[in-house]
Amino acid sequence: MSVATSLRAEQITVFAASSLKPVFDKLVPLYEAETGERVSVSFAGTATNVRQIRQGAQADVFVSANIAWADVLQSDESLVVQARAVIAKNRLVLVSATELGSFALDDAQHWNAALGGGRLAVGLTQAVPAGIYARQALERLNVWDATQYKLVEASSVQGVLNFVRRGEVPLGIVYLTDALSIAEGVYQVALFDGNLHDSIEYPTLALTQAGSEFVEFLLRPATQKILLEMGFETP
Amino acid sequence: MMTEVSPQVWQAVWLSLKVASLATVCALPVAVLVAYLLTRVVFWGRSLLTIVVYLPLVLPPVVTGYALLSMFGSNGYVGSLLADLGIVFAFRWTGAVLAAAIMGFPLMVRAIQQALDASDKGLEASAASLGASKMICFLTITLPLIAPGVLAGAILGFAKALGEFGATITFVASIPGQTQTIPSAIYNFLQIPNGEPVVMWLVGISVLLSVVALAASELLGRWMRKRGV
Repeated sequence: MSVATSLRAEQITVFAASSLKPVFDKLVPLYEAETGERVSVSFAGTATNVRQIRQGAQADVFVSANIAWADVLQSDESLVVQARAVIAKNRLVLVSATELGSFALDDAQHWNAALGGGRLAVGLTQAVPAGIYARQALERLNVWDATQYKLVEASSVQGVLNFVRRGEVPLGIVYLTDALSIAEGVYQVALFDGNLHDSIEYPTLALTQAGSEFVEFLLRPATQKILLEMGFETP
Repeated sequence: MMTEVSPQVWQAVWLSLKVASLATVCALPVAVLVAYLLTRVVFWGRSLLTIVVYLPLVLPPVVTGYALLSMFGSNGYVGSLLADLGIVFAFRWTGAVLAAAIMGFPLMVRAIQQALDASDKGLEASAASLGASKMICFLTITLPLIAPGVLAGAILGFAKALGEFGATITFVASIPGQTQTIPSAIYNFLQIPNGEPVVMWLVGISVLLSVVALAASELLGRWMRKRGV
């Protein structure tokens, strides 16, 4: 029994939202060095992660990109959720393929001028969290009418960034942290106010005891400082 | 819920049928030509052509999609030239046709190549010795002989086009009514909590379409054999 316990503690598996990859690439080695455990992280869209865990994938920690999918997993009776906490928050930012001047997000004329005959890339507005938040923001800014027939809906934020970076679309909406992690070819135009959409938060579920320890590590002030440096906001 | 999403489901089904049919019709003649070149003609660069033709079969579809975006996007080398002629693929349903055609192409060529390998070259030689030109020979001897293989290639290509996802979504995204085919719509609704009822609809429809396509090819094949082709 004790052998089994110690074996289990040597390796933990984390299922995390894709947008966390740059910061987790920094955090995981720190945790490994401190505890001597090996952490393997599976980055994917949140819905994919949830389906895999519900089908029996062995996960110690699940980091969701939105609240609804965290609720779905938490209500699954075959899983024991040891702890739940929001580890970080994010913001939406409008990015462009070329450098633009000042841009009023609530001015339809600015949108029309910047888009020209081109399109606005977002995540799937029904499905990908970043796309859902983008649609809420455009609606509350009263520019949905000006943009809804010009949307290009990508299957992930990475897809949005590809379209913008290749100059296939003049504008795109992504998470601030994604925009910050791109070195060149993408320009930040304007930050969306945080109250234009549902709170963009990462609810995290610990599904085992070993997982709880990793979640505690994520919530520590020193870890939160790194998240802040990478453009996330603290919960 | 159902009544609300139904239009999007039917839109995806109609678009998928349109895209897959057109991709098959456009790619098939080229596939016959390429298969003929690869089996009957010796020329410099034949191995290279083989590799290029089969590349989409073995590459991850996302890579093919990204390559298409780089080449045929409005800023790509080919895309910007074609844009001057008024041909645009980026984020249009025509782009979905291009992606589907390229992904189905190797399967078509393969089926036709196998039929060419199996067909009796003696008949072609006899026709040629009696003075038939290469073209006449191909149209009256070779093509009827390999017709079942061409048909099999068409069905395979159509099925592949119907199911193509990775290259399409990377190249032309998922725009309802424009580029959101059945697989893209399934992906979309799989990302939504409680999206399963719509997913079941779409899965049911794609199974039905595949069964109809396979049954049609089976019947056509039987009819051809009866006719003695």
